[in-house]
Amino acid sequence: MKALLSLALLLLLSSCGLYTLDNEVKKDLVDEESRLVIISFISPDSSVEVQLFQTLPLFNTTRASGEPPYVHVATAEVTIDDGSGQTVIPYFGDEQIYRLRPDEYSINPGASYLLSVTANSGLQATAKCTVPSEAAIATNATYRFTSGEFSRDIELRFEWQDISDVINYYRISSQTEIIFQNPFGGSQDTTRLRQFAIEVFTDFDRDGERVVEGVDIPGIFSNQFEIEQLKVNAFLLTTDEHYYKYHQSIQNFVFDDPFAEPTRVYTNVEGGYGIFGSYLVHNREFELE
Amino acid sequence: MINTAYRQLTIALFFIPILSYSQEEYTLSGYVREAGSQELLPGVTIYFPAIEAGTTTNLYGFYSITLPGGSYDMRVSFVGYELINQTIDLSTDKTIHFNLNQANLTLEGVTINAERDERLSEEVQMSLLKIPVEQFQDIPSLMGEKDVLKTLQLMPGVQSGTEGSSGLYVRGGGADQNLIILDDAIVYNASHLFGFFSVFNGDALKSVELYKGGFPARFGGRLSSVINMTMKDGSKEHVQGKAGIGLISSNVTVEGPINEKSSFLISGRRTYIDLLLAPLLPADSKGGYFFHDFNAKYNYDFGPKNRLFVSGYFGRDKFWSREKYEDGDRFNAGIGWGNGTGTIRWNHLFNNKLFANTSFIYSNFSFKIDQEDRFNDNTFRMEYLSKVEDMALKFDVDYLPNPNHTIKAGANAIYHQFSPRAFVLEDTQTSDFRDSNDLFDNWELAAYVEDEFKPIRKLSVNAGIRLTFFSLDGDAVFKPEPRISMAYTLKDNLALKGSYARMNQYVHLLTNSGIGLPTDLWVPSTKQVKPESSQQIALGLAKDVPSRNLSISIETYYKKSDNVINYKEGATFLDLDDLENGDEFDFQDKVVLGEGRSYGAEFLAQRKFGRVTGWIGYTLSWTKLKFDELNLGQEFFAKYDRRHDLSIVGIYKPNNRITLSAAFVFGSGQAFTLPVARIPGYIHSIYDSRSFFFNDPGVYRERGNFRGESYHRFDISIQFHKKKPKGIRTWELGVYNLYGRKNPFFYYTDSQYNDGTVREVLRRQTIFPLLLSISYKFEF
Repeated sequence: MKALLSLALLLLLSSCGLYTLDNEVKKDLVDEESRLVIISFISPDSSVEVQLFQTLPLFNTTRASGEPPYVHVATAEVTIDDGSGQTVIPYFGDEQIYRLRPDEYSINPGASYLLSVTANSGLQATAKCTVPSEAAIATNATYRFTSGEFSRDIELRFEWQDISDVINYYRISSQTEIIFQNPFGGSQDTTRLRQFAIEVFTDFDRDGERVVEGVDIPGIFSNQFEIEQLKVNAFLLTTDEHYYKYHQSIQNFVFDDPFAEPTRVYTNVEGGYGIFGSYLVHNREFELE
Repeated sequence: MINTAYRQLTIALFFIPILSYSQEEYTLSGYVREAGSQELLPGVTIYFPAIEAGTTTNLYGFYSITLPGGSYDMRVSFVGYELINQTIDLSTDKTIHFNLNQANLTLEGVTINAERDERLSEEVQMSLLKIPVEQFQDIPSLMGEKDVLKTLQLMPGVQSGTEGSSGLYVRGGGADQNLIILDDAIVYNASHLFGFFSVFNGDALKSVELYKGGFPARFGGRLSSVINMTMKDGSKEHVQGKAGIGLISSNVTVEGPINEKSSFLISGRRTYIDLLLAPLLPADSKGGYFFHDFNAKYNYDFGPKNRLFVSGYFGRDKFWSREKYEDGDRFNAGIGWGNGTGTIRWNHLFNNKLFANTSFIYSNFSFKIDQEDRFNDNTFRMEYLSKVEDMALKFDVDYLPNPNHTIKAGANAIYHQFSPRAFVLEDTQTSDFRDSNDLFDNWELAAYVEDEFKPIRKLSVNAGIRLTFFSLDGDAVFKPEPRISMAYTLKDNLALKGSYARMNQYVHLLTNSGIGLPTDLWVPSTKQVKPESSQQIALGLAKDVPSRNLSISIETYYKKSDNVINYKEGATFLDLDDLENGDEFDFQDKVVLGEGRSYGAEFLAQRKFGRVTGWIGYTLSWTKLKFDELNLGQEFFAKYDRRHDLSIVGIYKPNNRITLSAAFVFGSGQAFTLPVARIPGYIHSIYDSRSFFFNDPGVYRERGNFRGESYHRFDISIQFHKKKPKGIRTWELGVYNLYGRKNPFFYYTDSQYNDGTVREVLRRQTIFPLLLSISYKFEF
């Protein structure tokens, strides 16, 4: 009987999940050659800036701890072409960026651009985008505090007329400068809040209608802080489709959930990854006392 | 001329009564029961070899056949029971009830003398899997818990989701595309313990059928399969039962007569993980997990024409935790889910050709998370509930005018009430109170008629149509569903079969995992989330080898599905960590609709009766999905796409004291999506035209770019039976995954740090390597 009980106990323990195992898989792993990654958003009156990277094979690369799983590419020929000929975009090593100032190259509403990259390694990538023809102009913009549990949130709301008969893509963002009295130190502090929300919108199902959209900016200052002055620079962006889809895919990306639906980062780069997008911007500045 | 015509007419009139007399037809009808227990037996074959005509008993054991008058030899046969040969003189309508003796192993000696007469090649139905319920008890199982659904996973065309899961993926269909019926009631969540065990107690079941295609018109509401289960009625002979003790749970089943007209069955099961863990927990803390289920059935025989059945199922899983502190603060939390079903059925025999059943059905599934935290005289209370509740009325008739026609017709109405999420949050510290409840009420109506007939001697046809109606958002959809199955006898014991079926599904399951988690949400079709539909064609051969009790089938199929549902990229049912913001959840915004294609071939060689029983099943299949908003609109392999799937199951009873069984399972790897690289996840910064860093998302070029490792395992069990003065006891020892194969439960990527370097690796999570089990059962 004792032997039977011992056996039963052994069986019970073996069945209680003690054997949960976690092992590295060493074969049949997906791999592919390195590719270029382009990050560039263009707009009239802004510099043409291109950040360029190269991917590393994910599972067969050992890198120094703290280094990103990709590398900057400094030695590439990067050109932009609006149909009238290629213009080389020079590299600025201290900022690790390829840049053309507005006085060197003009981006025009409604125009199409081709970005071409050839790295010294031989990797190539191209991307095209067309700048929106017309910017949405806000007919109304509001900016107000909403009370959170421990801090004040900010609600930014724009109202505008959608341009009809075309699919439009939008984004709202803001930069806020707050002067407040710190109750702990008694000194006056200036904090610049940037709106980190990356919500993007379309005019799906509301083509040509009056659109009201807003974003909530989580407050990062305590309810106990007394605000003395508030400056707001609010932006309504009219973007192209690539800009919209890329940000939407970044927004939906899920990390470290084995059961979540796999997510894909949108790209319009041929032969690589990343984004070459465009936008027009309309901004409203206002100050609250 | 006139005289000639008159003469011919006179002769004709003279002979018509004679001809009529010679073709006078009589009806033989009755019930077939198990000898002793008087359990009604469905699917029994009543066959007249001389005229190659026959019929089978319906779900309630009733048969009826109308034949020209005369003397006939007839056979009454059912797998596992002794054959009855009888000669009848049919010169008037007759009612004959048959009692079949069980022909399985007895403790007095091996008596295997029944003829296996249920021939696959003689059935018009294809894509139908039947496993005798006794076999469920013999097949090795995870932790010794006998499981109906996991046994079905061992059949061709039916795949499991992940390791240990009781979810079913039939011919490429999703886990929600199975119509699981217990005594006419739909069971919404068929899983205990996060899918590791199914809710069905094999001891309480009388029959289990799985339709993979060629669906008869009487079934509808799901795209991919019908799993029709019937509970035992309860013995009318004497009180008897079974009690079992296993590693996970114990169960007991008792059945018996109440009086000569009625009988009952009660069956229950409960786990005791919580009881075992209780002594190990701190004094101020209590918690644990358990599941239980309970089946009950009562039947009353009003006489030859009326019979009443009342049956029910109730099952519940519960995780709970309670903490109590000296200062009066306390913390209670729990997660609970379960099904409840109830069915009242009334059989009525209008006449010996017309049988009717009327059912009133109730079914519900609910999932609840609750938490109450009292601290410093403040209370935080949160309650989340997801629920689906059905009430249904169903009416079915069987009309058997002659041996060439078996007509079934009926209608049903289901009133669904869905509450995908009801949410209450109360926080006295912040004076926050929220209460929201999304409610959807829908009617699902259907009417059908089907006729199984023989247009020519070698051809059997079951043709039918089902008309379906569903109310949504104040509107309604109406969809007809034509069905046809055909069997053409090529030669003795060999038939060519084909079928076509159109199906519609008006309820959807939102699931990320596909492993039967209770967090999966049942939701109705709406204007935005349209009903799913499918069309399936199948072609196959069925061959019987009576001398070896063997049935062999080969089937090919092609299924096209529309409006199949899937979460959007990155979406999940509801972030449980973010329940406080959950009141903004709208499932319609989280899903995308697309199309699916699946095709393949299946082979099954099955031996249901004899000293050695079991089957070999093999499936070659492809399952692909296409959504405009997923994978850049390109088609991709479904996660549960498996190219090869093989099951070999064997049960050997060398004598009346030992049952040996073994099962080998092989499945090629499933389709996973893995990143191939990471890119800088920059988002655009408006202020300076630059971008700022967000994260390093993994990138992949297409879904399903990684084939997981193949799944295989070998299970064995041995049962020792012994007759005791008051019954038979059985000890069972089992080994699950005998050679300790580390099968994948899921994969994930991880960063491995070593000496100032980092390397990304893929890791496999295994949950069930070798597991031993022991159980004890006593039948009295």
